[in-house]
Amino acid sequence: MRALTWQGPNKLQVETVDDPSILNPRDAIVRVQMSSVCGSDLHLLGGYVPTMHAGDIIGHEFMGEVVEIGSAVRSFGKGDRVVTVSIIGCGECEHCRRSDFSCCDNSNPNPSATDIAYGQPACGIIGYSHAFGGYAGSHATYIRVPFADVNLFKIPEGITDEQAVFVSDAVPTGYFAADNADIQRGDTVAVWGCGGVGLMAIASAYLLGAERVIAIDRLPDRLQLAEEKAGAIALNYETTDVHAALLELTGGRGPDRCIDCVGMEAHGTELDYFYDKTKQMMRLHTERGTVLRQSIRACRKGGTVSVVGVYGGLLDKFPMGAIVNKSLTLRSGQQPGQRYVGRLFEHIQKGELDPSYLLTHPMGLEQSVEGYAMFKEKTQNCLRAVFQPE
Amino acid sequence: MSERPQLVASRAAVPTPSHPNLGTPERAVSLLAGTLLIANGLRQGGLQGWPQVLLGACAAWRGYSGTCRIKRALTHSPFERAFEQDRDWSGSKIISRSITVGKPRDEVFAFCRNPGNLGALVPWVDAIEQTGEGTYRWVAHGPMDKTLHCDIQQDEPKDGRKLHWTAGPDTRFKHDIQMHFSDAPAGRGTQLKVIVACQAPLGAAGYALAAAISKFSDKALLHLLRSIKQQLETGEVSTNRLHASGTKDFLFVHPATEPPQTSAPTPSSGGNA
Repeated sequence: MRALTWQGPNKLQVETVDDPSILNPRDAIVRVQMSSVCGSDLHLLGGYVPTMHAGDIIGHEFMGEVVEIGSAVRSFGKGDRVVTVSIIGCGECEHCRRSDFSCCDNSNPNPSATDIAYGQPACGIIGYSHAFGGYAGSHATYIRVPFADVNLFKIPEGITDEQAVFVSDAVPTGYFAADNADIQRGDTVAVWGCGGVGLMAIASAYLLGAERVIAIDRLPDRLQLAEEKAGAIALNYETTDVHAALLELTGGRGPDRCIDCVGMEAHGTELDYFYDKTKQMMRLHTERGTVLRQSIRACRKGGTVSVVGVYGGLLDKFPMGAIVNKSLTLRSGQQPGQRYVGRLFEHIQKGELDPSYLLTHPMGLEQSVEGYAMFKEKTQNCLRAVFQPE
Repeated sequence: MSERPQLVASRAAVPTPSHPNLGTPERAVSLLAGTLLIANGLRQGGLQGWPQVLLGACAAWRGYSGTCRIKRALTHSPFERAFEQDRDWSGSKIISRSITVGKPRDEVFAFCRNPGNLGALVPWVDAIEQTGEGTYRWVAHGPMDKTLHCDIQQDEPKDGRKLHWTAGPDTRFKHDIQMHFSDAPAGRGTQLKVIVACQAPLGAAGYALAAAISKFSDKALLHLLRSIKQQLETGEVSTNRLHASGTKDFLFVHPATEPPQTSAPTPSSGGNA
């Protein structure tokens, strides 16, 4: 089969690799029909995630058709049209039983790396480095999905492929961010980052009762989408003092809930950004914390900061004093999408949510290297390139 | 109030000038050697002399402060000392890992008492042969196509709470492996604690070597416990391979192995390979 493989920092290549096969009774093989780029892939691409090996297949947000199942798979059969949650749960461990699928104990075959880095092994993630399991990714003709009964979901009638593919990751991540923020009716929510996840977080915040959402980014096309498609008040941080603007918009209180959908490669215009950038380039730390610092500083006293932007390692100048002295709640995590997929399909079917506009650049898998270049450089107003293997 | 358990993780305290870990003779030797090195280094000067001055300064500080981190790292832990006294070993290096398995204790115990179940979860174990009453030979596929084997004696299990294995009498380096089973609070299954002790002869050098090897053993133990948990909870062990042909672990490439086929192979009799 053909697959997009990581060859080194900022080096991708489409090549022919062996087809996957059923290895465990609960596996399924899915023929990939659509596989999207994701902002978190850029961390892999940039070499900021240290456990990538040359030849690793990347991609984790996809939908397709089941072509083969293991002997213990009960809920699916050949020909089923499915979407897969990118964070793998086993469905059986203590965490999965609590619906905290992203804390799964059993889905990571390589527990050592995260055991050392985080104190306990992290869950497995499709196509997202060996630290998170080393699973082959979805930018390929076929993919093996472990624990299929837990991680696959049949796509209901009336939901298009263009809508369904984002229920794999962008939509549940955005929804999880808003859910974690503990939004109360009438709240003002600030969302940093207007990529696919950020736009879905804005939409989810409204679904969960926010009165007003303020979106922060620097790319005019994304800010326009935030306003026109998601109904947010858009702030361009390159032309606006974000902290002053947030206070101005909230009567000096600050947003009730702040959501970081940016993560470790945040951009900024202040001194702390250049400090982070320099340290990151020298590999002295892994994260650029501009957005996290800004959201903690802006959040109203007693408010909640919800983090779904990907952070992988160590962050310098973390404003712990503001968290303690403003009584903030900090919540974070990888998305436990299995918890939300049914609810999200219902919102889509009712017309309350439509993620299909995220797909700006459909293309073949053979053009995926160009697709990532466009996505990384944010050219041609690329919000999401989605590959359709032939 | 719960009794404080004896922890494998206990370590010797970090030495400070007010709580030194060097005796008077050691401090005197360090001070003397450091002074001589500094004097000789200053006399020689240049590229040969200054490193001596630096080394001498470190030695002199060691003697003056009475603290030595290297000595601390080579100091046997309280658990190791107690174990050595109990087993009459001259030295030991002990590692431990714990995991919670979301299954009842009797089920976890029955699975673990069967060496065949455990061997199937270790990628580099080719076979486990029963060689006598409670004795087993673990045959492993080693580097450069070498076949390694280790004879293990399994003691009679005690009341579903402890399994105990020891290396056979002909084994050069003694091993002692204990697996403790306890009920996890709030019905969360079974807490499984494994303690692996390896005899470390030849004093500090042997202990340092055993400590270095134990880094790998600890990783292997982590993988084994995760595999036991996965097998018992999900009925399979997760894998990131594309095919069933060849797999890598942290030592070398091994041929594919077949995992146990049932979700919870828990023979009531147990004990047979």
